[in-house]
Order: sequence, then C-alpha cells, then structure tokens
Amino acid sequence: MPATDLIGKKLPRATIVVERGPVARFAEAVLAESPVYSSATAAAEAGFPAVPVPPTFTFIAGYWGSLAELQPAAEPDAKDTANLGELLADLRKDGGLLLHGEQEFRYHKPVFVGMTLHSSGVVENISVKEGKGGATMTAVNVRTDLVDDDGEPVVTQIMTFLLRKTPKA
Amino acid sequence: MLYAEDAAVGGSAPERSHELTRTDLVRYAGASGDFNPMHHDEVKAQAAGMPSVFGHGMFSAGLLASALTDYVGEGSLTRYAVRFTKQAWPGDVLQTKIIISAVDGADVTLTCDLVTDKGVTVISGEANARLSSKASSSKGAL
Repeated sequence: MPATDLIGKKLPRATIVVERGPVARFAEAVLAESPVYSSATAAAEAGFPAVPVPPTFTFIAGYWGSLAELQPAAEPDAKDTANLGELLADLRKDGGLLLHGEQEFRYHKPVFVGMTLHSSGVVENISVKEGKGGATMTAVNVRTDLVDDDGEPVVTQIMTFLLRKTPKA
Repeated sequence: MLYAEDAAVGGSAPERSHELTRTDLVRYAGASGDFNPMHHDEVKAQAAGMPSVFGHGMFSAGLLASALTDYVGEGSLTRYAVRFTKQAWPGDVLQTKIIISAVDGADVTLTCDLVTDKGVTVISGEANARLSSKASSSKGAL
C-alpha cells in the first residue's frame, strides 16, 4: 500500500482536561522561569483569568489530561481511524529512518488551567520525493485541532514527520 | 517584556544559554510522556549507534518557546513553527537567537533559532506575536 493511502486517516478524538500540577511541572521541564505557570497569585497579578500554559504544553496535554471516563465513544467508522503510534508504525513498516521534522502551533485562544479541550486529528497530506539512486523522502503532515467546550478553535497543531529511505545495496 | 510601541525590525530578545544535561532529558521525558529510550537510556542509544542519549526535539522547542514568551509576554504568541535540523547532545550549550523580522502595528514576526556553542543549529523557527500596548495591557483575549 503506498504511503499516500494514509491521507485522510483520522486520529481518535480525545477530551483533555488542563490541570495545574502538569502545567507547573511541564513549565519547569522546559525551563520556563515565569512564575505565572506555577503560582495562581502571580498569574492573577499578571492579569490572567487563570494559570496559563507554556506555548508547547498542548503538544503533550493529552498525556496528562485524557482522563478515562471523559473519553468519547469509539468512532463508528473505526477503520478510518488510527492512533499516532499505529500510523507511524505503518509508515515505518518497510524500514527507513522516521524523524519529527517540523512542528507548528497556531494559537487562536489562550489555554488556561481549568479548561477542557477536545482534540481531533487527521493525516492532512503525504508527499513522496524521489532522490538519487532510488532514495525517497516522505513528508507526512498530521493536523490536530483543539477546540473548547463551545467548539471554538483554541490551538491548531501541525506535525511533520519525515521518512528517509535508502535502497539496500 | 516587549511592548508594541517599542518593537522594531532587528530588535532582539536577551539570549538564553543552557548546558544540556541528562537530567533535563529525564525531566522532560517525565513531564511530556515521551519515553523513547533514545532520550534516556544510554545503553540502548549506544546499541543503536548513537554516541549517547540526545535531546527530545520538543524539549529544545519548549526551551526556545520559554525565551520567546519571556520576550513577547505570556499569551502573546499567535503562531510558533519550528524545524528540527540537528540533534542536541548532553554537554551542548544551547543558545537562543530571537530577532524581530517584521512589524505590522502590534503584530510582529520573529525568527527564532536554537544554536549550540559549537555553532550547530538545532532548531530553526519562526513565531508571530500580538504585542500588548503600554496604554492598555489586556490578557486572555487574543
């Protein structure tokens, strides 16, 4: 199956809560020194309605906040859905070096502790470039949309994976 | 923090400099849930042909983002895009290079790179921010 057949494949939907502890520890891990991420008092003094999150927090928010009882029922069309791990395994099944090549965040609304985010994702595009001697470079764009309880866009995330394959001598 | 009134093309953020340690990698693994052994297990990394464990791309992106928000203010970013160009290794001193490349009213575009003390570019990126005005500092409404 050519890799481009994965275009349109959906990631499972998820409901993600944003909690204080994970935000504070994540901010510490990316060496964010601002006190607004760990102190509600500092956040209020800076004019925020609640504790904000660092710019790349939403990339990993699902690890902390996908609480089991909040998750939506499985998609009716499960065969069009694959989680990211399955997708990447599928891409890599014939070998090659898979890298996270690029990452983009588009911020529509600020994220604060206490919000619930609803995530959906899709394989937006796959392009294959032929190189010298049968080598190929496949670029895979996976787009994730996070919306709030009202369905308003909050953050759009675009991951680009690169799969580099060189033919065996 | 940078205000709209003070933004000019060529303006740059204070550089942040940080020597990458294995503890940074373990802390980021725990905080992000990324337990790819290439980032914390020296034995497996060397078995895979690497000289040692190496940094998560998203750790570097997070560190660069921290320098960005220190400059433009938390909650001001409207876009942040990075390209992972090379790996960061323990012992590398990571340095942030953030420069304003365009200004349109309160909206600024910044080039942002993360470069090692050996001159290797780890991340090449671009960000957009909507800056607060000195007159009215409004947060939480983008």
